[in-house]
Amino acid sequence: MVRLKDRYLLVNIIYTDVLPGQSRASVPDVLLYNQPTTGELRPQMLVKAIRGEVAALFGDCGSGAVDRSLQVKYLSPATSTFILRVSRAHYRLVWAALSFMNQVPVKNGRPCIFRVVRVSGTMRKIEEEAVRRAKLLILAAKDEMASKNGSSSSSADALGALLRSDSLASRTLAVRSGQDDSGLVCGYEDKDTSGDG
Amino acid sequence: MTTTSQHQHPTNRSPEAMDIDLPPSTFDKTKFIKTSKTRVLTTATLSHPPFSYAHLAVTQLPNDEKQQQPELELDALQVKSYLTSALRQFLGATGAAIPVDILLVKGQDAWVRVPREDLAAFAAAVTAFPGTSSDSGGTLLLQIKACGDWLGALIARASEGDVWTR
Repeated sequence: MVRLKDRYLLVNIIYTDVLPGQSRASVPDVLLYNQPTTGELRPQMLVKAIRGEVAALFGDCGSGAVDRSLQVKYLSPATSTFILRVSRAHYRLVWAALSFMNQVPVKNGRPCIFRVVRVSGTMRKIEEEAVRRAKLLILAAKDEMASKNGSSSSSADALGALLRSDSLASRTLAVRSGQDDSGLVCGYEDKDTSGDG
Repeated sequence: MTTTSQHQHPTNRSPEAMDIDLPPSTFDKTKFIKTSKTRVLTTATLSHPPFSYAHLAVTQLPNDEKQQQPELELDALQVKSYLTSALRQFLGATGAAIPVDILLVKGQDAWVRVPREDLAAFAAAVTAFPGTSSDSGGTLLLQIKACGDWLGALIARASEGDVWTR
């Protein structure tokens, strides 16, 4: 039997129109960037926006390659996270289209960034990654509040793990000094295993 | 039928051999290599030419059968605009960004150059182009007469028909 292989993309919505260190001192910056999304956002609007972007960037050929298999498997406005399913051969087209989208696809949507944080061949690994990132987000927020209140904590391990794209380091939360934000560029790719697809 | 001769040849000569036959060779060929008149000085393989070339033709489809179409004058800007709209429709913004160089526009034909890795996409886009409406009401279509990595071969192929008809 021929297996139809797909790729699952875990995508975060990052909000950019907040300046760090604003008067909202009670909220850590990392939570300002990862705000909840408006409840108007529905999976169909997201799919429509991505299809439109792929058609604009890659034309009839690209949209024909991507449209059949593009689906939003999970959307959580509260955590500003969604999971897309794309065919394995053409997931890079969708990733590129996400890079070009700059606002939430609702009416008068806020400007934002769509950041792909994980690509995997199985849904299970994506779900595990989503749960892990949620935990890291809480840790990073706590670290930031602790350092704001003056207590000297170690350098932001959880924040570095959230932003970093290197898998091993993010898994083990190794202590590093002078982390740079090169991890903002791309997510980490998992090849699909012979298990569930 | 053998006849007696001055030489006594080695015994491996067959009985049907005749005098006019050459005697069997006795020298060992592995020790002696015959020099040929051509010598290869150097070889070079061009594996990745940077550009590919295409020979396009613009044709006009009339709306109805009897309508006479005037010959359209083709220039480089028109060719560029047709190609851009074909690429944009088939391949979007990334297609319109393919760098196409127009080498020659002559009559109804045009010769263009694209990077080698884009030739397949370019050819598909030109073939899939649905055409634009022309001034006299017909449809203007693009047709690929030939495409390939070597411009010399394309030009020669285009003039093949002229050898026999003119």
